[in-house]
Amino acid sequence: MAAPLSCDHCEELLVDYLLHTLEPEAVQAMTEHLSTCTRCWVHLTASEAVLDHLAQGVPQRDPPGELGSRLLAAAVEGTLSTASAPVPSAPPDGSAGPSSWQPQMSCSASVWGGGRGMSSGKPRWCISAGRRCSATSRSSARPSR
Amino acid sequence: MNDAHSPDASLLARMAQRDPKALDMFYTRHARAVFSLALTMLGDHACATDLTQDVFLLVWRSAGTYQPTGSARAWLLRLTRNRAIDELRRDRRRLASESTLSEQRFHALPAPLALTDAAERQAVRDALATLPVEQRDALVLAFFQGLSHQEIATCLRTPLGTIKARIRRALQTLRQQLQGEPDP
Repeated sequence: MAAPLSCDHCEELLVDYLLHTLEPEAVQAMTEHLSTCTRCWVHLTASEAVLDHLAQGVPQRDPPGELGSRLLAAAVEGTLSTASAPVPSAPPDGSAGPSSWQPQMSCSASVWGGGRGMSSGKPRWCISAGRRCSATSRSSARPSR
Repeated sequence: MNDAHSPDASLLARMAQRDPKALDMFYTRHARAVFSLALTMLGDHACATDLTQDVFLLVWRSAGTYQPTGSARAWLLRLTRNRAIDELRRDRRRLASESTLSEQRFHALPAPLALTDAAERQAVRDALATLPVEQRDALVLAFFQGLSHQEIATCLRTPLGTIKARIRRALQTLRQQLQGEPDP
């Protein structure tokens, strides 16, 4: 269990937390502190909103036209293959389940808390961890180029 | 109400019930933003395309756990950015060459606001323009390239504490500019 954080320490780590650069232990400590401290939570959401602005400010480009139909085919295919099973609680690779990518508090607490992929290996929530680029794993869903 | 006017939360609820039409509408509504961010960060059309598919498939598979406490678009873009960062960090070859960042490459980093003209983006562009260049560069490296503070410090040959301070100050300034907060 991570050591409790003070508000000052939380504030010090907040930017790293938002930018996804904390070690998993620190993420856990942040998560626990933010779940109980309204002041720091408000501070977090305000900073998060700034980053949301940046994410939405990039030059806009249309995705390839066939991507929509490819996505639907992959989704339906996955649905059919799991039709008799409930929605999986975790991605197929065994990484963390849905609770790891809930928005706002939970999103920050765990999506951002996937650990430093660079140093800690497989991200907790990634559905395709272990490959350099997802471009290499679409043979079933991607038409030949 | 037809699909085009369904709130995102409603579409996500329908996706949890495995309604592909809801996924189609959700994709139509947000794909451009997701793809654009992925392309900006990864710089590769094929990787950005696949990452976009990954993000929407992740949403499709786990839509039932979505808790509508904020903008679905913002949430979706956070997922996208985190996925892109993980992709970037898996690229060991890139990391291996990161010890020295050439001047040419540094200036080739995404200029995320350079080509946008929507009013909302103009505000972000104006706010970024107020940042000292060293703060803006540090923030761009951290946010769009997924570099850790230590990596940025190494790239820019600047003390780690200075990099942290620059990024923190940049965010504070943007908050003040975009959200009308007073100086601390």
